[in-house]
This record gives sequence, structure tokens and C-alpha cells, in this order.
Amino acid sequence: MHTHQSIRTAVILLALAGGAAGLGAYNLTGKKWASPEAPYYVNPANADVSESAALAAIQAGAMTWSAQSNANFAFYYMGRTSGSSAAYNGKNEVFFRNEADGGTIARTYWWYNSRNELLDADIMFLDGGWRFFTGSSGCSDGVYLEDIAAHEFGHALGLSHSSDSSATMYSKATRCGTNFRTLAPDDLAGVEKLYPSPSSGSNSAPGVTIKLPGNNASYSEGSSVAFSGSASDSEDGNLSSTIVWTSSRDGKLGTGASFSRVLTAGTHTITAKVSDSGGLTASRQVSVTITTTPPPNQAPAVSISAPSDGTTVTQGTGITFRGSATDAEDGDLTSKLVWNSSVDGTIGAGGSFSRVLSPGSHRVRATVTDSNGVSSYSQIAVSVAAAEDPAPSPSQFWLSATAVKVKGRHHGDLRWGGSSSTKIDIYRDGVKVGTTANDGTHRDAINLRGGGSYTYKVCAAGTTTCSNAAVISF
Amino acid sequence: MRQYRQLVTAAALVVAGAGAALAAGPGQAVPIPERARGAERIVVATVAATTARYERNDFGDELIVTRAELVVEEAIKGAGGPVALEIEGGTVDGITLRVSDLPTIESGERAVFFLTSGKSGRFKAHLRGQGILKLDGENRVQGSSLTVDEIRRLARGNR
Repeated sequence: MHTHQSIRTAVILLALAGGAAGLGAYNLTGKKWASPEAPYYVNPANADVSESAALAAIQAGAMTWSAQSNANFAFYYMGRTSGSSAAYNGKNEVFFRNEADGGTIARTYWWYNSRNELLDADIMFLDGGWRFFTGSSGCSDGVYLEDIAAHEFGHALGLSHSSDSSATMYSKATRCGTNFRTLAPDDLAGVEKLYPSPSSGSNSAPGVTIKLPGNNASYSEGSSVAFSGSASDSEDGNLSSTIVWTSSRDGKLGTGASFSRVLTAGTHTITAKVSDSGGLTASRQVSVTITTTPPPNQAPAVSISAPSDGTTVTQGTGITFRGSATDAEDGDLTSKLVWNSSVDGTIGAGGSFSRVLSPGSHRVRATVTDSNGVSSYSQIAVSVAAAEDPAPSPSQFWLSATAVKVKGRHHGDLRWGGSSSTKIDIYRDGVKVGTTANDGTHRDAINLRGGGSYTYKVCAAGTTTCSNAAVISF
Repeated sequence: MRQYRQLVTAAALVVAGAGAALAAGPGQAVPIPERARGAERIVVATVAATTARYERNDFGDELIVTRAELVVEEAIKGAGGPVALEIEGGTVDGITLRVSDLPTIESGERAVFFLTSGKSGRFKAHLRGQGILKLDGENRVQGSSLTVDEIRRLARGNR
């Protein structure tokens, strides 16, 4: 949560302060880096924008001074840091802090020695008090990070505040202003005074080219990227072995005309830079994208916890079914389970339900399909035995049947009574399968294997006077 | 006459903001009356002595901090008496730290200090650099036309 400052009289303040514009009002701190280059690291974690956007904006702000001026100085990005505090530790760090303090948007700490040589500089953006935006549109009641970064890197290279209200180094920023990212003549005069360009009368700048990687090239993550380039200078000759290669994501990559390196995933701005003995520099940049390869899709896993495999119940008994399903990519898929019986078809869905199954031998399968269309299932066997028919009275024509396997093949043992007929017709599943003497017993050879159920009845031969139905299951 | 006074007051507010902003930023200047409301004490004082040392703050920053002993000549708000002010920056063993939104403090400098309590009974500048308005030999804030009289009037008008 940001505590945004009131804009108050800012417009008037800026308008009157602008009276000092055009007076050549830059201020040097009197300190400067001994080297024409200073490395910096960035901790892009912040409360407002993506880390990649913050990183790009900060790099753009840092590059403002070398890209727009003829000063013999440049900041160069060395990579990310986890640092989030200011200290004289020999590492120039840029980071955000969730702090609101006195209306300040950002501040720079710099350390120097008695010879006025800058030794360390840390930049802190206060995103507790201000909301930062990137790019150049969409800002509302905040500030653009690139512009504030340009101002703070101005401090880091040795400039103090200017009284020129058009300058990047002016002490007050306007909300959503994009003016700091473009150096004013006052800024240019200041930085070029601090780091004058070497005389070009007797020295010409070197040239550098990048052969590999090609601009906008794309590689898969883990691939080795080949870097190759050449550099030359009219005074120094071949400088290819001194080319310094850096990545906007991975920092310094190497030095020399060619080498290979594995880069982290993402889009990199690759810079090849060379300096001649006269202090003049040249650089070229290409963009390279390292793409990530998604892992292969994993099939979901299904388990059935109830009923246990091989459970047998009596016809009419409710059975509770429980199961679960998980997937490496989709997580818990239990609610998407679909349950099917080989006898009754679809019997339920989800992780738990109860159901009465038809008599017979069921193969119950719980199936789930993940978001990539890959299905898995788990399966159990459930047998539902037919309920015993009530004992018939002697005067009734009755039938009972028992399932029997002979050498693995189905048979039905029948017993009946209550008929005065001399012959009895045997019906299995509504089809007459034989006629036998009315002696009260008969073994019907079905001769099938596996699961199944059969319904019998017996009738007085040639009549429709029949017994009750009896069911057997295997 | 009344219009002239209003104009002077507005200009003073503005210049105070611009002057203070030289030690701040980038940011936006807080008007004097608002600074006065937030400060525990406002004093016109001279820096009598300074000492500096490394200190680690609550954020983990390892900074050189200067302790300044102030001789108070006038209390515009709050109590009078000596003040010990702590401010980030200073020199230890030949290494100097500067901070972009704070001024340096040196012995003999005279300023209007807007103060809030810090640690161990020492004070710090309210709103950092905007809480220290260094004065020139004519009792004006350096680089502006704002006078101590005007600061006093603006501050007391908001107590």
C-alpha cells in the first residue's frame, strides 16, 4: 500500500523554480570515478511492476548518461543482487525499499576517498511512498522508474542537484514526467565536464561487430550459445581479444573474440564493448531469447479406497464407493472422477457416493482425465449375489437355482417342486434350453467362463404354468 | 498592502520549497507550515561540533552517521536548550559518505532545524533534507529570499 504524497503547490513551485533555468546551473559533487566505467547490480524486487520491467527501466536510466552524452564514462550492468541495504562494500547496488520518507522518491548514497575518487554508490527507490511505473504511458499519480533512475545514476557518477528545472538533475520530479530520461544541455555540460571525452584529434574510435549470436536469435534453455565478434582500431589494430561481452540478465559473460556460454531463460540484450588505448569505446547490441521447455505432461493417478477389490454383497445392499485422483500439473482431480460398472454402466462421479448395484459380477472402474486429455483409471471387482427367494409353500410351483463352475465353466443347478406335470421345460434368460423329467433337479450346462448372471424359470411342459424366477451370478 | 503581503508569503513558500529541494530529491517540497506541523522542535541554531562513526540502522544499512551538537539561539517551536542531531553522511578514516537527499553539516554552520526525536534522545531532521534550512549572513535561507522572520511567522501560524 502506497502513501501517496499530496501534489499541493508543485506546479507553482516548479514554475517559479524554473526561473533559474538556462543559467548553466549543474552542480558537481567534486567526486568522480577513477575508471571510465562503473559496474552495478540490481535487486529488482519491488511493490509496483514486474521484476523484468523494473530491471529494464533501471538499465535504461543508467544508460542515459553514456548513450546521450560524449562523456568518457558508462555504467554497465553486472547482474542481479539480493542486496537491499546501503553499505560501503565495493559493490554498487540498486534496490527498492518499502519506505516513505519526506517526499523523497529515491536517494543515492556515495562513498569517496580523500582523493575525491568515488568508491561505491548505492541507489534506493522508495516504493513505500511512491508508485513506480515503467514505459512511457499508463502512469497515474506516480513516477516513471526510468526517469528517476536516470536522475539517481547522475548522482552516482558525481553530479549534484541542478537549479535548471529542465535538467535531469533538477531536484524535483513531476508526477508521471518523462523529461528526466532525456538529458538537458545542462546535464550534458555537467557530465562532459566531469568526464571529458578524450581528444579525438589524434585518435579515432574503434569499431566492433557481433557475428554470433544473430539479432533476435532464439535458443532452448540449456543450450550453449556461441558468441563471436571482432573489433579493430586504426591506432591499436585488432582488438577482438579485448571485446567485453555482457548480458542484461546474466551480467558479464566473458571477454574475447569467441566463446560459448549457457544463458538463463528470458530475453537478453547482449552487448559487445571494446575500448581503445585512447579511452574511446564502441559497442554493439543484439537481442537473444532463451526459451524454456515445459516438462512432459504426467498422467493423473487414480486410487479406489472403497470398496476393496473382490467385495461381495447381497442384492439390494448399498455400496459406498470412495476414490481419489491427483495430477502433477492439475493437482487434485478427485471431483472429476467418473465411475462405471461393466454391468450397470455409469454409476457415479466424484470422490464418494453410494449406489445399489444389479446382481452379478461387476468390474467397477474409476476414470479421470487431466487438462491435457490424458486419462487414467483404477479398477476393482464387486460381486452382487441375488437375494434368496422366500421359501415357497409346498402347494406352489417353485424353483431355486445355484451357480456352479465345472472346470471353470458356468453351470446352473436347479431344484423345483409343486408341479404335477410329467415333463418340465427349462428356461434360461427367457429362452427354453431343454425339457426334462419332473424329478425336481436339473443341471444346466451354460459352459461360459468369466462373469455373468442368468435368470431361470421352469414350466409344466407345453404350458404357461411356471415357477418363480431364480437368478445365479458368477 | 494586504495583496502584497499575500504575494510575499506565497513567494516565500515557493522559494522555501525550491531552496530545500536542493538538498532533497528527487521529490516534492513540503511547504513550511506543513513541515512545522510535523516537527517536534524548530530551532535556529549553530553547529558547535561534529563527530562521525559507522552505524548500522534498522534496515541493515551500514552508514557513516554524523552527530552534530547544536547551540540553540531561538526555539521557534518546542523547548530550547542544546540539541544533539544525527544525520547520515560524514567522514571516518578518510572515507566520506554523502546522501543525495541530505545536506552536509559542518561546525560553524547556522540553520533553521526542523527536528523529530530519533534514537537515544538524539534528534534527526524532520523530512530529511527539508528539515535543515541553512542560513546566510543576512538571516536568509541560502539560495532563496526566505528569512528567519518569515519561517517563524509561518511556523507559529500553524501551531
